[in-house]
Amino acid sequence: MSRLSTLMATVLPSETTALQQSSFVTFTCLPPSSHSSEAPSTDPTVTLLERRNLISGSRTTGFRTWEAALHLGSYLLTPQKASLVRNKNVLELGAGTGFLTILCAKQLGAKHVTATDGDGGVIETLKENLFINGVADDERVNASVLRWGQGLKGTWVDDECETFPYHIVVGADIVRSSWSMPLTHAQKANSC
Amino acid sequence: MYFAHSCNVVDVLSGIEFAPVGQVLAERLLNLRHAETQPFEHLTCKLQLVLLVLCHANDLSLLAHKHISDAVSRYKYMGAKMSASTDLQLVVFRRQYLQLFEPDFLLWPPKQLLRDAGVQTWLYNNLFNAERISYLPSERYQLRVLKPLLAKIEKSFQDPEEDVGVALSSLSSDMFQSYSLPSAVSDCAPDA
Repeated sequence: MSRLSTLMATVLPSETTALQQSSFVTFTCLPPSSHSSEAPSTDPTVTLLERRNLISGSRTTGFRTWEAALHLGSYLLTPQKASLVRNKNVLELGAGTGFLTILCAKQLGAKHVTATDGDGGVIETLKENLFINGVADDERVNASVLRWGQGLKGTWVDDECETFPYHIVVGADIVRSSWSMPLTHAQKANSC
Repeated sequence: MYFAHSCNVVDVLSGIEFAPVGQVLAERLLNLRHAETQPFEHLTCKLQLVLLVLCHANDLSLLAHKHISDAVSRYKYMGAKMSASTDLQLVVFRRQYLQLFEPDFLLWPPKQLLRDAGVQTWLYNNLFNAERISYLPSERYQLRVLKPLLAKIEKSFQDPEEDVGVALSSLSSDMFQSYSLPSAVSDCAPDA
């Protein structure tokens, strides 16, 4: 009640300000065919802080979760594919908000997940999201900037490959037109 | 709180904003502390009967009466009327809302459900109550859903004279009072 009154009384920010603001988004992560109607508090969820409208004017698209990530998430949630991630070390490329990373760490039982993105600001936001979902733990998830096309020798990637050799690389909606360049580097990361 | 089939009645009671006198009476005279394991449907009838008798016998204030009949209406929803499909419709609506679906694409609960005071309470507690939900959507988005939701609830009354008495009590009446202020509406008009 008081909440609704507050809601009504709050002077809403102007449209332009609102467009810059972030909002919590909660995804319920159930296999596609599931019709579970358990209590909401027991739903498996991933909650993200997103800046949905922050695309034009910034150099990155990484502040919101895109459809492709949801589709890949549904795929990984199917019982047949669950073994792809369970107890595995996962590398995500172009992680953005971190939806897939958090899904793997929180709901799919990954052993370790490395979330990477080319933008430092996106990685900072992603770390907040790790915290919100209770997976901000270096042993479980590492979030770092990875710029494709730069040498990997002697970087953190090198070290991490020693500790947590990647079993699977995931990436959703990360290439636009040219397949050749990004894939080369994805392979590099995979084979190191 | 969300109750699927049977539940702890004392928890239900303490979760409802009973008039203090009503709560004490209900607990003492119905001996509810010992009724925790009883199936819910049995309790509903007993409760309704005894509580209403109590109201007259003890000459409780009109307010307490209102709270109790409201509570009974919620019990009815939680116990007998709540089927698996009802459950799912509300739960799916909530999931879509938390995932920030555009209001046009939300699967709105049918008016038979919206009319029910128990459903309204459930919606408030599970969609808008900041004290119970850690990561609510932005206020702007909440309002974009709240506005059509209230309009739909209002439309769902078949006989306003009869329904309003129950459905608009406590929570809902506050919702409508704050909502129907013309200035609040125009100030808070959400974007298209």
